[in-house]
Amino acid sequence: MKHRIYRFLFAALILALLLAGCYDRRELNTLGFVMGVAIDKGENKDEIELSLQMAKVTGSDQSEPGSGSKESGTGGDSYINVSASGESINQIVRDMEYKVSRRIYVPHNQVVVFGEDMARQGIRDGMDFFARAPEARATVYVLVAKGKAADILEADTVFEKMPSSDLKKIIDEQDITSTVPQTTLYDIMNDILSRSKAPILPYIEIIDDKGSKRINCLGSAVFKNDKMIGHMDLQQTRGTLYVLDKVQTGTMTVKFKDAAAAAEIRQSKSKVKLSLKKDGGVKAEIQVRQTVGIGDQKGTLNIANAENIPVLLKESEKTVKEEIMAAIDKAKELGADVFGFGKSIYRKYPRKWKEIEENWEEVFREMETVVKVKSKADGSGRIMRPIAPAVQ
Amino acid sequence: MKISVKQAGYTAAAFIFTSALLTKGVYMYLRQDSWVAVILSFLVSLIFVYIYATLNKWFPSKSLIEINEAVFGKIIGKIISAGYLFYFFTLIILNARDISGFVGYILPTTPYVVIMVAFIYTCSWAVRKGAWNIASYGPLIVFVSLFVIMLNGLFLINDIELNRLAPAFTFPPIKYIAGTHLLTALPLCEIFVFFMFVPYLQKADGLGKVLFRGLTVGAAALLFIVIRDIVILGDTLLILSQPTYSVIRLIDVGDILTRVEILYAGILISLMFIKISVLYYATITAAARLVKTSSHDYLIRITGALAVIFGLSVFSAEYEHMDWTNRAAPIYSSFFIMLLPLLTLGTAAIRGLNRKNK
Amino acid sequence: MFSFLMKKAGIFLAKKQGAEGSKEKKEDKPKRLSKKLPENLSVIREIMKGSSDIIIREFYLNLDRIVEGALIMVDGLTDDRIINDNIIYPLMHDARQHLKKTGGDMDIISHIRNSLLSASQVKEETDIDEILNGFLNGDVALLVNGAAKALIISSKGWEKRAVNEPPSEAVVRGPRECFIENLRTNTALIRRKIRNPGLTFESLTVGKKTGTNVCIAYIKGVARQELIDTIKKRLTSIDTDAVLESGYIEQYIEDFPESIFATVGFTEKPDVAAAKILEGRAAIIVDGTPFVLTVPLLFVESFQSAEDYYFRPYFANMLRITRVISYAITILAPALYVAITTFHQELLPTSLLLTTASAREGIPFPAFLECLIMLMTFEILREAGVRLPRPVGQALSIVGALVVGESAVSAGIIGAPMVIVVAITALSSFVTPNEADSAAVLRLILLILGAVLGGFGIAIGLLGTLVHLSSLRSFGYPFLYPIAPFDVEDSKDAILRAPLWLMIKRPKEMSTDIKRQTINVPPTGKDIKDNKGELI
Repeated sequence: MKHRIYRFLFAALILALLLAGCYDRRELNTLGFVMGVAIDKGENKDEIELSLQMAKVTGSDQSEPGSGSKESGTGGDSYINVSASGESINQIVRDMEYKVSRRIYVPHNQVVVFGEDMARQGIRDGMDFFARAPEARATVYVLVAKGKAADILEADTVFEKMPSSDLKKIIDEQDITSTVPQTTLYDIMNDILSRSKAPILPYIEIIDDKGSKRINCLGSAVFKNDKMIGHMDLQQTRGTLYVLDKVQTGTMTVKFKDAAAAAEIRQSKSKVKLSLKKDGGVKAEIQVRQTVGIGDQKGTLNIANAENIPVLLKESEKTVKEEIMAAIDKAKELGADVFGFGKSIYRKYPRKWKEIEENWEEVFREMETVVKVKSKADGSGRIMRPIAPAVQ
Repeated sequence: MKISVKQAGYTAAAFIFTSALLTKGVYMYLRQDSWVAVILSFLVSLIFVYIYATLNKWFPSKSLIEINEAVFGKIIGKIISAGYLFYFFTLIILNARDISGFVGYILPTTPYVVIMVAFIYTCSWAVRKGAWNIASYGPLIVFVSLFVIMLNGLFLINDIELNRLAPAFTFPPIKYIAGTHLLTALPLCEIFVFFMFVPYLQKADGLGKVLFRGLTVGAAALLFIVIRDIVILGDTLLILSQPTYSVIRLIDVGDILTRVEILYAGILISLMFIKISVLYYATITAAARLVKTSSHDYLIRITGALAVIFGLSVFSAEYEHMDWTNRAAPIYSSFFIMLLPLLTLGTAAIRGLNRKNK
Repeated sequence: MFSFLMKKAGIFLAKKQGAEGSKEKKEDKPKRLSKKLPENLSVIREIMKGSSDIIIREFYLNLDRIVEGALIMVDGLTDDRIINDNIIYPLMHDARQHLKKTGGDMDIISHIRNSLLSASQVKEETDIDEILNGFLNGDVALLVNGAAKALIISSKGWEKRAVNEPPSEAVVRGPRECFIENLRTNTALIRRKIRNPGLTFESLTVGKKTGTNVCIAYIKGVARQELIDTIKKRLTSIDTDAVLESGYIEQYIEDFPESIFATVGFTEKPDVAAAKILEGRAAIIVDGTPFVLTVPLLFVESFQSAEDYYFRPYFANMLRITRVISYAITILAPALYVAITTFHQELLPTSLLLTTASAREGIPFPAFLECLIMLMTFEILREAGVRLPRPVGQALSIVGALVVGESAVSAGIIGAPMVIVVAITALSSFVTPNEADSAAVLRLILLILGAVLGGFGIAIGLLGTLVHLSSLRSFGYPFLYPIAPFDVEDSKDAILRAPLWLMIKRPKEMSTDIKRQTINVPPTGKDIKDNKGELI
């Protein structure tokens, strides 16, 4: 009987302890959801300027049953941008609470944009917070903006309510062009930790499109370790993505005598074969196999026939080869192993890697690369010939 | 009701599975070759399971405490038993620390004491209901966990890069030994604790089968998790504080099937619950048999309170815990689960106790 | 935790009951009939103390001499036709003719019984209590002067409800009959399903004041004898005044009265009761209620319905999975919603989060309180809906749904997502009606834990529930069987059900006669193939 009372008291004690808890309880309407982050170089040395884009959650529309038409959030209404500068991101985020009435909540962040200046100085310090914070996600996209990153967050919205959401969706959709890398924080971490592979990040800018500020993709920013050292244009980027086997679909123009066709990459698969040369160098053979179809065409020449399809295939092979070669040239010029050849050598020839690790940059510059592209034809779509009367 | 071999076996698997979800130390030694250590330690553990099974065959339906007394005599036997008791108790503390560390990761500002009290209290509830009860839902939780882990693996199929397993066998042999030792001593051979369940088994000498089943299922899960981590995480394996958890956080299928770590947290908490309940139970029965008392209620309360107090104070910070797990724990653990059983077996053989019992 | 509270309350109650019970026991002394009729009648009159529904009909039997006799019956419980035609008429009219045939010396009672009465059931009794019991149950007691015995003649015939559709267990497919308040009708309904000589109905009387008839139904050779013995032991040890419904019995015989989970099942449908009896379970039929108890109860039975076996397996299994999911929703949805929106906001997909957040904007209450208010509202609505007359009830549900749902949201007191969560919770609770009571309590516990410790609290709550569930026993059988401990063979009819022809065995340990059928391979479509196995 007595021990029942003790047990009861103990249970009550525990319950009281728990009820006094609620340490991590935060109601939804006390949080400021960060949707986008821009990190720029601060005015003073060693300072970081951090801009956060936060969703401005407005009350439910039902509260005013009278108002029939719902104002679609036009830019400024559905988000606010806050910036501050300081030594460390954590410090700045805390300091921002001076200006923001809600707890800054990072886990739903969708993009981290680095300004070019900051990127050239190194992104490690900027990334650390987002890799370390327990709730933040490693699948967030990381990008580099030409000019100031904070400007990206000021862009006019397209479909989404916030520029950062727009930006995320833009990068999401790049598997249709395969000319911009979809780099996540996790990818960058992996690249930097691999010692040799150079990360490439999407390189974006703000352009003036008929009076409105729009985001535009420029290709990719090439990093060495955590520092940006240059950038690749769209074609070179696709060349790089070919080597990395990350091309899914895309399109290229193939010219004929009096016609032109858009060769659509429907499928692509690539392989890198490494071999050691007798003189101590390394040879990389890049094999690309892809399926190409006709996206559209100009002129009246029928391309989808036995005569012209091989030409189309050959031309597309040539274009791809050129793209890859351009990428390799650019990478060699920058001395950045964006293809992860170093890692591949380490995997295949770990002993050899130990020898060349010291001066890998040089070895990479002098590497022999062979590109082999094989295209296969796919369908011509719903029409078999251009819309022109057939020649009798 | 007595525990069937199957039930106890899968509960033993839960034991290994729990640690498999927290795998970290072995990556520090072997990185992409960690799977080698898993296979090696499985083989080594088989030997030890054989030793335990032999002990069990010689002393059927006897728990560790009684075997010690039979082999070493009253006084030395009791001292050794007290050692085991201490070992089981430290395992409770370490695992309670593990789980509160993990939960602290989800609930950063909640003090450890709240988490630990809540968790240990629930475990004490399970212990009070007895061994049969723990073994009855053990298999259920293991099946669900296996299913969840497989499912998670399926979601991550796009992130897999098999060549991250290469190059194989490039580390110096000492590292393989260290990794194997770590895995053998920490998750795999910990199922030694099931020696305390022997009196409640349906088959008096069925411990070998129980442990074999537990070891096989547990090691298979461990292997799956280790390989999955390697092929998905690549080089980040080394800097993440919760690799297996971070893997799940990468899941992003069509923007909807994302943030499924709630499943991982769920199975980790459930498995840890079983593990701590088993250890807790072993501690209680060991203590009860040692001092020959049947008032388990007091023991449960005292042990629970001590576990919370020590769990809170044993390590001042997470890194200290990690350091201990990687360096001291394997040696500490192997003394109890490798050396002592061997000693017991040897002494028993010399004293001819095996023949007498037959 | 709550079990302590229940136990404590239970102890106090039990103490009081024990004290009262001991006083009453002294009165019980078996009284025997005397040979004199007036004496017997005055004893009975004294006991009944002039209750107006007792009829004592005194008359003369004209056997070899004129003998005084009396019939005692309760007005309203007897069938007048039987009494007039089959009892009074032969006794007063035919007796004279018998006299001439048989001569003088014979046992008057056995003569009446063997030769005169044309009623189907006649019992001889000497104990006054038994006689009282007899006519209070609707029979007629015949007392004859000069004999220390009485005859209890069956003449039950009171007003009873017709066997109609089960109101609480409606089915789309399956028999539509339902148990009624009459014990004998109920046993007959079961007997009509199982025409097997092994089917046994054992009767007991429970309740000292009500003297309720209770019947244990089982099949000899299928049900385990230990189970029947346990049931009998528990039933006979019930020491209570009144048994008005089978719920009384249930609460006295269950293994874990302090648990929120019932470990005794109940059903209104004879086919369900028959199916359970056929699996080796026992049914306890209580007079005066259409709810028949079945023991032992397993947790999985709450997710089963009679229709599962009448439909083909694919659809039936879909329904079962739906029920399991509904149960999960009904206990977890509010807790998860509160935990996720107040602790783990990172778990919501971003777009959903923004929508939810905008719905919560301006809501004055914390999510936990909001949830409690809505759950309370739901319970009020449900209770009101049950109690009110049916036409009003419908109006009420419309008012409730519209007023509480719609206007609370538009007034900005409750967020719209919360209304959805509570609505789906409420709907789901009706899918598993047998567990609706435990689900309501469990839901609240999990909600509190979820609001205090987030997902960790919910996990702890669920684990505690699992521990509790697996420690439960129903008449010695593990409540969670065959899930924990897991058993493949018996899982053929646990969460999923195998095709009927694959369910070869009865549940293990439930039955002594384990084999249900031999492997009964269904037609494989052979008839559309010719002898060589080719399609015609």
